Amino acid sequence: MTARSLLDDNRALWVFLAKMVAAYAVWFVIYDLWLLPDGRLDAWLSEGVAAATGAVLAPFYDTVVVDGRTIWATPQAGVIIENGCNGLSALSLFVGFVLAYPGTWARRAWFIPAGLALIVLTNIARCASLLVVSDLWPQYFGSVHGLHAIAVFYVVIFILWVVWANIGEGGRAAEPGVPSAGGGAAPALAA
Amino acid sequence: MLVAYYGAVRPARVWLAEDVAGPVLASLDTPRARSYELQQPPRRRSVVWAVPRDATPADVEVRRAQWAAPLGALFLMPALFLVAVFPLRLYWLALLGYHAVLGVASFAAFYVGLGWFEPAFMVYEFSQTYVAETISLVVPLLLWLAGRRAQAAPVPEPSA
Repeated sequence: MTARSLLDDNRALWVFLAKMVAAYAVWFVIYDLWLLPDGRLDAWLSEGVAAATGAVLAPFYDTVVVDGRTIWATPQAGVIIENGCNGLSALSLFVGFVLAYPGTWARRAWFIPAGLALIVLTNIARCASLLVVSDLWPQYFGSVHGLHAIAVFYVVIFILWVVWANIGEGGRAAEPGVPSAGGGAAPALAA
Repeated sequence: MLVAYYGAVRPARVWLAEDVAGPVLASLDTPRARSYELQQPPRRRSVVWAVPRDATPADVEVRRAQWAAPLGALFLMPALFLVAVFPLRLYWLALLGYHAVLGVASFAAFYVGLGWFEPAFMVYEFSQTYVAETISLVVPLLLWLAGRRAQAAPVPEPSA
């Protein structure tokens, strides 16, 4: 299956969608049945994001305290990185697409870690900005927190998907409808 | 798009929750459904909570199930993108249709979960997270790729 075929062939499109939803379903079951009850993965990620957020804010706040999943910018302004806020679902959403969308495994091998790192950094920046809002404009914290997470992750993941759709197969062959030097043949390693 | 959303879609979501989903769920009369109490969370009129009657304040957040009307932020953001990129095409209506179909299917899962079968709540949660997010990301992406292909396609020379 190639990226070009997705737009030309309904069957290829359905296979791509089925692969992606199947990957998410497998992850969803594994997460709900084992990882969530176990708690260690969420705790590790949440505490890592909390520690990094504290480090980002430390130059601006002398009063930063990180305690496990909780970060305090001041004694009055703090946030807890709950399971739903640590970015794990965003990470899986990104990986599922890259695995399902046509591309070479060599490119996946570097693009997935790079994308995961970008999403984690985005979450750290999001948490830091939420803490600033909590300190300076606490009355807006609830509304900012609600839409903020969806909007930030949506934009970043969409950009990463667009990038992967362009570079997954490499060169101009990845562009649907733009023939490659070989007449648009599928790359040998295309999934 | 924003005017349409705040003027029509948001009130429709509230109407769906208060006048359609809430009464339909409340009409369920099974032993399992009677073990739940339906509530509307404060200031979130497009949401219905199903709270187990034996839930305690300590575990209520974990045990309650939440149904949310479709076409929330996960529809609004890609719809705005589609309107910005394809202002002359009504692709956002197609996106609305996909989310509406998913909304009906996921409501059915929630209904089954409330009335008979606990794992249907997991199906509902999956549909509202990964499936809804996939629709919101894949539809704009594929339309954008198709639009770019249309731009890249060679213009046929007029025949003599």
